[in-house]
Amino acid sequence: MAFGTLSKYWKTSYEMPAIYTGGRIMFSMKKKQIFSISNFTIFIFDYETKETIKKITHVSILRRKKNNLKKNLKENEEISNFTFNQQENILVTFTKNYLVRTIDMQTYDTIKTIKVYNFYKNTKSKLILKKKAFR
Amino acid sequence: MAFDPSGRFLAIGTPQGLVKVLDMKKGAQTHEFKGHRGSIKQIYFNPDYQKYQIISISEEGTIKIFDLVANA
Repeated sequence: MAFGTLSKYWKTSYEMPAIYTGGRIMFSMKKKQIFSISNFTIFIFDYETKETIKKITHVSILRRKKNNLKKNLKENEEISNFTFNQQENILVTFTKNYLVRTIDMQTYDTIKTIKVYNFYKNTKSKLILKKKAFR
Repeated sequence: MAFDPSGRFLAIGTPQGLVKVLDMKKGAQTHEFKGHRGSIKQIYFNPDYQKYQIISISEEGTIKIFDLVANA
């Protein structure tokens, strides 16, 4: 039997998408799902059916809403980290522009968005400054 | 990022080396800690729910434990 030439193209029986390139990976024991981050997108992957259930990205949501957004805004909305609570009902994402988004793990809708300051908010020094301003 | 065992508080480690704690029920920041020089790589809550402590590991290799009750 000669192996020199390719005689047939074989059909791919199963293809798995790239779901992990490093960073955080979490396992949901209740839902039997894997949560991973790749290319600023959270991939939710069922480890029984081997299917990607959901992709969560905030950049595409913004793109759909407004087409003429500035490039830097799109880059800032990239997810840098994520986690979910022990009850496995709330997923939280943290974006590069310091926004914390709370997502319902049943419906995958954003419930709440919280702005976090990227500097040390020294409240004591601010109070002193305010007092001085009023003198 | 890490949730506390009750799921109410969320700890965030920033690239500036700050540890911020958010009350997810109120949607507001409750605590803020500084002490790390480098970016925070890992952050965990103490699994003992009675001890509200955060363990943070930074880029420079230091591990710090912050107490939420003492700094309330």
